[in-house]
Amino acid sequence: MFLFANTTIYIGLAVAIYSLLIITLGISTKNQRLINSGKGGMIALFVCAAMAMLSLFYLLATSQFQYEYVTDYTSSELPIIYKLTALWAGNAGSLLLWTFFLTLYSIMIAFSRKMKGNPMVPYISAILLANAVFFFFILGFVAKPFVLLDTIPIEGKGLNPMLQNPGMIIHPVTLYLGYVGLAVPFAFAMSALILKNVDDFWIKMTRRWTIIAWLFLSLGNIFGGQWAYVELGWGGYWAWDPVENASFMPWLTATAFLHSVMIQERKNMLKIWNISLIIVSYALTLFGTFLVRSGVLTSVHAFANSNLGLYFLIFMGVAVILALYVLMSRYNMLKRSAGEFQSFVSKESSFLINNLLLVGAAFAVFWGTIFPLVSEAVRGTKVTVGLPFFNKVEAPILLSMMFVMAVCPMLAWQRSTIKNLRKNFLIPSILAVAGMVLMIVLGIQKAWAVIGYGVIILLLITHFLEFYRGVKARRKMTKEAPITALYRLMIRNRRRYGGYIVHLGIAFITMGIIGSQNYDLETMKTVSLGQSIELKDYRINYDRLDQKKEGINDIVYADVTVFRDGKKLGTFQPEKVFYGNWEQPSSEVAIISSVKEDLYIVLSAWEDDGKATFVVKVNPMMNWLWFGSFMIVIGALFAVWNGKYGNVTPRYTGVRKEVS
Amino acid sequence: MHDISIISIILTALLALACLFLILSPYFKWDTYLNVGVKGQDLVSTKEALLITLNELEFEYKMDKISHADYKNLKKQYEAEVAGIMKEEELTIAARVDRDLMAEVEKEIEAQMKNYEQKRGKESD
Repeated sequence: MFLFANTTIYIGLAVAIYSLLIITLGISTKNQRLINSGKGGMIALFVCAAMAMLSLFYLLATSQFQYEYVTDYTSSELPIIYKLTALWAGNAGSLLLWTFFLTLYSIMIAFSRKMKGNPMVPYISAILLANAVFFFFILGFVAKPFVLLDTIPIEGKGLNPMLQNPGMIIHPVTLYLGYVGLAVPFAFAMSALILKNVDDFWIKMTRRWTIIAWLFLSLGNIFGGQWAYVELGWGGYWAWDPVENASFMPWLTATAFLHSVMIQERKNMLKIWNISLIIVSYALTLFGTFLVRSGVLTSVHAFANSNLGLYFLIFMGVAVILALYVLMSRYNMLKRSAGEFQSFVSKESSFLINNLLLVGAAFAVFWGTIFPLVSEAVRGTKVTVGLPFFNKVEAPILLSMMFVMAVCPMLAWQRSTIKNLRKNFLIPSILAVAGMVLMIVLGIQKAWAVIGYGVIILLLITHFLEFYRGVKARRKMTKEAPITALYRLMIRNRRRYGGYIVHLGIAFITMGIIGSQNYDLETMKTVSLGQSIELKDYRINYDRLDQKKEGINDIVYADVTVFRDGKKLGTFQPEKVFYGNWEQPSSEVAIISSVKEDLYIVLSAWEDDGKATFVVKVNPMMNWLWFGSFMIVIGALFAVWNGKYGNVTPRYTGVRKEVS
Repeated sequence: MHDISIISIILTALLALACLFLILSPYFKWDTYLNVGVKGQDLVSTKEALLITLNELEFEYKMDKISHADYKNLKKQYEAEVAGIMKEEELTIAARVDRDLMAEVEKEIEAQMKNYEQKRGKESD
């Protein structure tokens, strides 16, 4: 297996280099056979990456401890599912997964039906191949997945127990799919520029790719948050950890990109901005990887420190410089062909504001994340930038973004007249203000909560009106029944209405965040057997403390009975798990969930006489957050679903076709 | 020692051969991509896109998302573009008809010339 597994990587590297060179040669000599050979190489690359993945899966599943990677991340008693998912537990394996997705995406584009005969294909292929060369190089020389140990250990070191969670099975996969996905619009944008195509063809062709990459990035962040909430036992879901920031930054810029491309499609504007955004988003995926893999920043994410990050930094630097060079060389052409804004109060200008806010938010996260590095370089001391900084800076930016999101759908294209503004905003604004007053009367008096919920009320009303008026306008034209009109309205413009569903999801998430951040309660108490802890309208009776063994792990657990307003909700078991092959114990939290709030019970410590210390939290509106996340997925899927409508073949009026 | 088994060697050889095949086979094939016509489709898709835009414009006007003046201006502009494309299409069809006609005329002339040559041949005999 050793020979075969390693060969997959080195043949892969050779094929990647060959394909990149031959396609470049094919482009410059306009020889279709050379291009086709390179394309064949792309399939070969995919085969190599797939075989390497299968080899590693096989080695992990069969516990071949003579391999360093298998020893480092698995042990023989590990359930098979976690043995397999250990593939992305370490550097080498996760980069192999990344490479696999990259090669998969590459052939999906190079051989796509829509792109058949298009002169952009060789250029896109070459750019994606340059990425593939880098990744195969890393796998071949820096983070090697198939290294043999000198002595074969009897047992592996085991998988970090924190990673033994269903959320962790999919979280990295979704994140990598998102990261790799952003390379696709980047490659399209660069190819279009190289070919001097300054129309929006590349945007139309990558529309779905971008939404799918964005969806995966969102899922990666959501699963990460959910995992942190359930598994880490600190009651939160987002800690502005450098690694979380690393995936949040490209999410922000990709969100900005998704919106600003609509303006280019519709109004032929923001061309330079769009290309810059996709360059930044792509670069941020590499920068994030540099942060995670270099060990330059302290993070809860336990990737081994290595010089791997440096390679990513160099690769990112080269990619960004080349991309900026291409952009600058086409600057005048882009500028000449672009449209202009006609009014400050219009849909297009609100999109621009939304973009600036998103990019501003990304920059604030970026600055907060790298500030410890900057301060260490300048002043010699590493300053930690913690939660308060991020919360203070991000909250107003993201709230303003919610406001723009609420207002934007109702603004007119070109320019909004006073009449338009009055007609579209008078009632929603009055209702939002009334809602805010009502909140204050009902006792919600924290400024952030009142403003935040006020903005969300506005958002919900404007979005409702958007659907309502859409149905009304449609019925006027077609005389359909309301449900039919709503259905047809939505499926005929999937991207718009899918987008609105995503907006509603974001509104739910924001409600959850505001609720859980502003109105959470926490207590930490040491109680004897039979005693109880009271928090809000909950009473938690401490009934029993015991110990059990599960495999090689020892588990200490407490039986607690929970009452709410005197009514029994059930008996629950918060646990502390001590692992046979891992030093740090972990907490298994008891979560009692409802629409209104979560009761979160952590068994923190205990004494010989049976006394135990519990951390009990009430986290309001957590389910709203998860429900919002679910809506995001539904909305994004709705937007990309293959429909009969809205798929007008994009026109292509570019360069003379020579090779494709 | 590395476990280089026979199976491992066979699999490696198969992988290498598969990669070679994928890379080299295009050199022995005639290309089929170069004959894809784009121009005609282009015209149709532009027209379709414009018609959809017109439809969308009307819809947005009905939803108060565009002012009356802008609506009128844009509508006029897009309608003019559609009209232009339709005219171009007509010309293309006309040109095709002309080409067909010319071909027929040419055929007839050729046939007559052949006839004439045959006659002359006979005469010279």
